[in-house]
Amino acid sequence: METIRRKYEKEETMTLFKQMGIAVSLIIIIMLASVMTISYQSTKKDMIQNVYETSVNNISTLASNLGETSGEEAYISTIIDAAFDSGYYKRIEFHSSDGKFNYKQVDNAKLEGVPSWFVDFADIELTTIKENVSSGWQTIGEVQILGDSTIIYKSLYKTFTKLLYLFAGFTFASLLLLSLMLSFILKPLKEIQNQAEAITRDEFVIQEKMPYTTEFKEVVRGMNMMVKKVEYIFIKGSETFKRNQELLYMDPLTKLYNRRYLMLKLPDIVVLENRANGGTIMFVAVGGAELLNKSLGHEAADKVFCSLGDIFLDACRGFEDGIVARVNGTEFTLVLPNCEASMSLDIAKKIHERYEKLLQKYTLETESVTLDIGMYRYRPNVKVVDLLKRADNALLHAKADEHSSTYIYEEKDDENAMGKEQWREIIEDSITKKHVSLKFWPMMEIRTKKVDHNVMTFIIDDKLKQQYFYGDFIAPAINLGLVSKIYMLALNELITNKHEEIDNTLCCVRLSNEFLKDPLAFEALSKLLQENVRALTFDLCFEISDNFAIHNPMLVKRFIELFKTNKCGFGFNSFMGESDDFAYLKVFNPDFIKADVSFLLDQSRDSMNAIQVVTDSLGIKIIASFVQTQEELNALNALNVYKVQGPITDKITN
Amino acid sequence: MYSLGTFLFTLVLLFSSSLNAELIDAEIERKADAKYGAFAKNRLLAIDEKLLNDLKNADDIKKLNTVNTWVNFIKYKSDKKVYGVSDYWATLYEFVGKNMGDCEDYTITKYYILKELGVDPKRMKFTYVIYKNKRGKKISHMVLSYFKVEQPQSKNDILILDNNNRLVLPASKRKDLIKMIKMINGDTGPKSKKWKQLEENMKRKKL
Repeated sequence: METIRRKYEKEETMTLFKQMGIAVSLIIIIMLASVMTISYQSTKKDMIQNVYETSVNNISTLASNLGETSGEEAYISTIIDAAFDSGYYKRIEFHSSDGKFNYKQVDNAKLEGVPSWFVDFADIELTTIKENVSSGWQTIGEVQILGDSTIIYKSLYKTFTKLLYLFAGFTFASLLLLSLMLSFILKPLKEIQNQAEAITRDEFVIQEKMPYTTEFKEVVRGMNMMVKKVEYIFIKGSETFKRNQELLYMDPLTKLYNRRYLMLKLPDIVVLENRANGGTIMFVAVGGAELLNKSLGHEAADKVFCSLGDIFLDACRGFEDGIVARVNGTEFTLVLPNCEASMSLDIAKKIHERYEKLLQKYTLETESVTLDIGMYRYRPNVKVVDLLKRADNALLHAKADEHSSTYIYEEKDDENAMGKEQWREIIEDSITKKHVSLKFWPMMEIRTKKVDHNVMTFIIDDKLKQQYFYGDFIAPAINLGLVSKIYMLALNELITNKHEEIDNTLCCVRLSNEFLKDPLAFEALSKLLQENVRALTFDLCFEISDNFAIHNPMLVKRFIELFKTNKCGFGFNSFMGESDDFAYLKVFNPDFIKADVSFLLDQSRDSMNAIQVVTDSLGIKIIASFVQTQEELNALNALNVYKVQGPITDKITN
Repeated sequence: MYSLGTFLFTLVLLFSSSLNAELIDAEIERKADAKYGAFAKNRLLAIDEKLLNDLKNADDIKKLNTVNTWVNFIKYKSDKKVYGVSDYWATLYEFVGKNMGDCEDYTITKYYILKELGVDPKRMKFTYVIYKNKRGKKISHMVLSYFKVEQPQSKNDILILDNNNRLVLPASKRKDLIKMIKMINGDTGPKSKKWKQLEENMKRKKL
């Protein structure tokens, strides 16, 4: 969208350089042309005057010569011939007073060396000069002279062409000089333009070099101030948000996450796309906490809980995306992705050992202050409700068991109805036969009720037998390492075939983490974009998981560069603001971030304001995803979030 | 080396020919042949051989007489009849080619041939005179005057080449030229429009 808008702007505007260039060139041309015209006119006038004066001189000599002939015709004609042949005349005429003798010499030769248009243009009119011829006291006739205009035409034409060359030369030289001067004077403006463009791209660029021209200097100073202010607002907003997040999602005593965070994060963790192998969840309960408080006092008891938190954090170390949360005063939850049951038993054992040592430090016994651990080894795509229920169940068992304080919930392995090999056949078949169809879901702006963009998803559709939804096949596809292939199939279908429903709109494609991690997928996508992106009838943008971007900045940067070179937009989804600061947003500068509606609604007004300050200062749109109910929509409106996707969009259009 | 030598030689030839254009050359003879016929060509050939070549080493008087006699063989006809205008200065080539012309044309042709023969052009003047014919009529006329000395002191010092007289006589012996109106230089003095035009026509050998 942004790029399209910029294109239009370019067409309607003209650079200052051009405008000044045109204005000054016009002045120069007009000036030179006036000088030329004046020069031409005065030369012409001078020449005509010159010929006139010469003719006056000549006629007096001629008249006195003729006067000496006493009117003899042969004499008169010879004198006129001699004068005519030895000078420059158009015509010499003699008329005797009695009208009996007339003699005339005329030059009717064609004017050579001067184009006829110039003759018409110059249009020289010479006046005929007359004088009486007297012999003694008697007037014998009248002589008339018309000067030669060809000589004027010729030299005027020469002057004209010279002036023209001079004009062309001067114009060229002065325009060249002008262009050099303008580019020198306007050089700082180019830098200002660069800075302005950087600001439009939401980059914080400070221009260090101050231009020489006063006005430009003020502009640069102003822009620098503005950029600094926006950057300050960004940092402030980012800090406020962080503080609010801590209040919202942290246990104030142990600095561990709280229950609210756990509940928000769990669905994301168990989703198969993030953890193909599932993991282990541990519920840990401290029994006899009242005794702890009584015998040690509040302060020491708090210290015990803090130390316990450290023990859990140590236990969790080494598990990527592991979570330790204090869900209430005496209960903790540990989520250990990719952790097998056997390993979790070792971990539980180590926790108990260290717990014992901790109690010994306070001369307490494990019989009075107990620590029970209930564990559940979960598989991908388990429902969160089941997850919690089973872990809780395990904890109950652990508490109830007098011999052991650790219990593992066992689960019958009947999850996937279809076997691995069956899935392999279906997926590989769909890849070779290209059995894939695309679906598009709208992302809407609530206020205008208009579709902002469409989000693409795809299903395996073998046309005859059955359809498999994304949620069905993606888990086995991850297990079988076929994610990139099936993604490329869908992307090929999107880019190389026509889809009328998304013509002239923006289409968003969500890229899974598995796809992003595959180096071959990068090559395939970059080739596909390079070859086809110009011919697309819609604009394209991509979504990457926010968490993935935080943890794989180099990889994501490469993808973003790929998107940018192919004029594709991009954004982050599943936003949770988990990074230490928002610097990564500044670096990547996505077009939008999509956050789960439940995350957004969790935020206080303050916290939401902070997010919006950050995103506004970077020009990032906030989109709520998985919006289902009108209540959610209203709550989002109250938080000034107006862009939504999810089932609710059907209701908005209707 | 041979080819370079040939090339240089050709170059020198070209250069010299363009610098020292001959009054009569093979090309003008060919053109005259095409335009006016074989007689015209022969007349030009005769100027080249009988006059320019044979008189090369003769004295001025001999040159004047021979050239005058030769040129006077061409028939007189007014400009009006030949060129349709009242007064036209024909080139040597036009005059000899057409084999007719008026008093100015005789004068011009004599002037150019004598100049080519090495007679000092500053001593030859185009002279406007009044000529009285046998019936007593005064006529406007032009002859070529030749100064025997640099600064003539009397009419005896000036010889007249006239198409009305076979002989080259001193002005003192020409009682029929009753008045001299004006003498002008040929192409050596200040150039009038007429002279400029004639010079240009001569240069491009207007036929």
